[in-house]
Amino acid sequence: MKGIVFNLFEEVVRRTYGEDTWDDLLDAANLGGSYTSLGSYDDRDLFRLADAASERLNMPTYDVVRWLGREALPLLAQKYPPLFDAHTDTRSFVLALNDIIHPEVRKLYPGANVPAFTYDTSSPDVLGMTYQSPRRLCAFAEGLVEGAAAHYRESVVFVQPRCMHRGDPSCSFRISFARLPR
Amino acid sequence: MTPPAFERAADLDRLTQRLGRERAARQEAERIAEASIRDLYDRQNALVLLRSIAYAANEATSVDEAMQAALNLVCRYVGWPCGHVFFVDDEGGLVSSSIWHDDGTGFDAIRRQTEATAFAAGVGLPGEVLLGGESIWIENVRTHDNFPRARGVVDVGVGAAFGMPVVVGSSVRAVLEFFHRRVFAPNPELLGLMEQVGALLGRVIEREESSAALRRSNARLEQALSDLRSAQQAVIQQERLRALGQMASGIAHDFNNALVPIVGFTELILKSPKFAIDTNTRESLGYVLTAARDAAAVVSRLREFYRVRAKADVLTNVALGALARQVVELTRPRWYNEALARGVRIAVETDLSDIPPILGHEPELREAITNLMLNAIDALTDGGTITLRTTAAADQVTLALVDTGIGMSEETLSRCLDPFFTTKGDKGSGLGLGMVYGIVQRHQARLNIDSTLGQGTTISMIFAAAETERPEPPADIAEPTARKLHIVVVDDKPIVRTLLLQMLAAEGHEAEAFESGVDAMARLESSSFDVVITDRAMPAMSGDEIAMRVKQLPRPIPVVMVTGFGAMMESAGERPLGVDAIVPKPVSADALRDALAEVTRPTRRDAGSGI
Repeated sequence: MKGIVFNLFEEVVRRTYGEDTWDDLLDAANLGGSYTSLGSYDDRDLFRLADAASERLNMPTYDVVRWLGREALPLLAQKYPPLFDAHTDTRSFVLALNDIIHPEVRKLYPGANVPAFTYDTSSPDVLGMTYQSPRRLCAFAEGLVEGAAAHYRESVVFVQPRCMHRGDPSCSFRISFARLPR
Repeated sequence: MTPPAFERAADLDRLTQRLGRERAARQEAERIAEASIRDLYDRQNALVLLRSIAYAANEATSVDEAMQAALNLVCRYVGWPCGHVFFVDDEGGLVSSSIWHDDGTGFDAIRRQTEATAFAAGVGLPGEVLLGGESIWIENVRTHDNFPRARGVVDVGVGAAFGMPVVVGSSVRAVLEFFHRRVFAPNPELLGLMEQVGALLGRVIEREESSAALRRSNARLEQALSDLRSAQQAVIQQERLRALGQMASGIAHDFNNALVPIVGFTELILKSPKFAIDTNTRESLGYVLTAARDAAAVVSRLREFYRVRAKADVLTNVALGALARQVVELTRPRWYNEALARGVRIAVETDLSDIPPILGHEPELREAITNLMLNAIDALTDGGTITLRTTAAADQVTLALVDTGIGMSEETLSRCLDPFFTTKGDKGSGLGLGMVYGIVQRHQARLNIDSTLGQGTTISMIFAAAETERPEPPADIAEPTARKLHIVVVDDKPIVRTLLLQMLAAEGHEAEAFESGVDAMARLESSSFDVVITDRAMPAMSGDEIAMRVKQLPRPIPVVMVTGFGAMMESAGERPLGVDAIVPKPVSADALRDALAEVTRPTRRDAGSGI
């Protein structure tokens, strides 16, 4: 896992719950906590931190990861504005993940193991999206999409017919967006 | 001791600030590192792209192939699905090529629109690139005011586009354009890279043009080399003949001098009434004279190698067919009687159609055909057929001799015109075909030799057909002189002096002979004479000098040069200053009479003309 994800986690926890909470999570996960965005770290560190947060915040781990995604997105938008400025809505942004955003991620973080998404754009109202990754971080993806919807001032509704956490080979979403009133 | 609470709070604030600074420093360091990594990544990819295009361009066998490869590589690099190439034609206009990169996801509309649109300089994306010579980025073609392909079309299927020039020197030679369905903001770094790609492809065009120029230049060089070889062959051939000619002229001079007394005195004895000779002696002397004249003819034949067409040679309309028939009859003893005697049968067939005459020298042509006929007979060692055929086409007339004899190998064929080259051993002189070649050349005709070993030979002489009007025979024929002349004879050889004196006396002239030019000039300065007859090559004073001095006398008189070099001088068109006529040795009474008649004729139009 790239250090950027740990940095985002720290920033999100620090902003919401303060410095001490992040220290507590590190202590609970028994981790040193020295992460730099360009480094690569054990995936298990992230899961241990997520579990620690689940316990500390009294929230299911899936929800912690989803929250992390949702809260991390504004930080990403702040850090990489060109990736967001090229789009005016969430659907367009999501559809660019494979072709534009992930290649950019690979440029910044050589060796980044980004997930592959497949899309079903047959309906103009509902976007079909399939997620597959050995990390099974579908919750993070869901949170990021929620964060993107907030960025583009849209509401979003997720339906997840399949999930790897439920034994399915991949996770699938049917996502609907609606423009929020100004 | 525990510090007071306010001090602990202050320390905590300071530590928190310090932590904040450290975090900010870390994040700034990460940002700088990420930017460097991204820049490095872009540069690496750009290098990979340029290297791939350079490699593909080097591998390509044509400009089109290189363009297609570059189009594919750029599309893959930028992740754009469609690209196209325009070429700039000789008039500076843009021509849409058939070179496209299309991922097959719906660029039919832009392709149709491209084919239906004319792009002058400044018109549309390619026109703008051509006019400005720089890459151009269009964020959204639908809202761009100079993208005619989007006009009147509901959806051209394209959002962003960019175009780049392919440049050779300072001129744009092609334009590459790329399309994406989505809208994209301009990417100046990418356009910069594309201009490098354009320069790279420009070198491909330049290389192709250089290669084409080199091919053209090479073809011209090969042609020049071929022409040079032909010219060299011709020069070598002429040089051989010239060398032979020089040798032959020397032989002819000495031989002619040797024949002078034989021919001259035999003629005198036969013609002069003062020699009372019986019939048997007269007959024997007739044989001597004929043999000597034949020997002179053999010598004169040598000059066929070196002489050019002499002005005095009279060209007449010659019917090749009739001439060929004559030769067939003249050579009958060889191809019929002699062949039968050695047990072989040679058939001679003629296919002499009615053809236009040619302008030529009949005796020479007869000799040429005779030589070819004799060669053909020699080639039929086991018998066979000789066919003489005339044909006419356009303004050309051809006489071909076809034999079914032994033929020639390639080596023999390449040397058969060389003087002294013969395959007949002692029986052949190696001069026959060379003479034919000389005669044909003097007629400005062509000689074609086609031969296959074991199958036979075809030799064709190809002439230009003559104009229908036959040239008038020369009217300026010398009349014998009736006047008794007072003549000075100069020759260093006593026997020639004696002969000339007797010949002149037989004609009723008075002559005085001198061994040297010095004595002759002394006599000429003191007395009056009508004509000087002089040899050419003499010690002390040459015939040329005598002629000049004679012309400087108070009363210049005609000079006749009698010389063994006569034939050579005639061939070279040489006439020493002051010489009015040349009589070749061996001198005959008739030739001498004609020369004297000409040089003393009072109404001569030109003092230097005629022999």
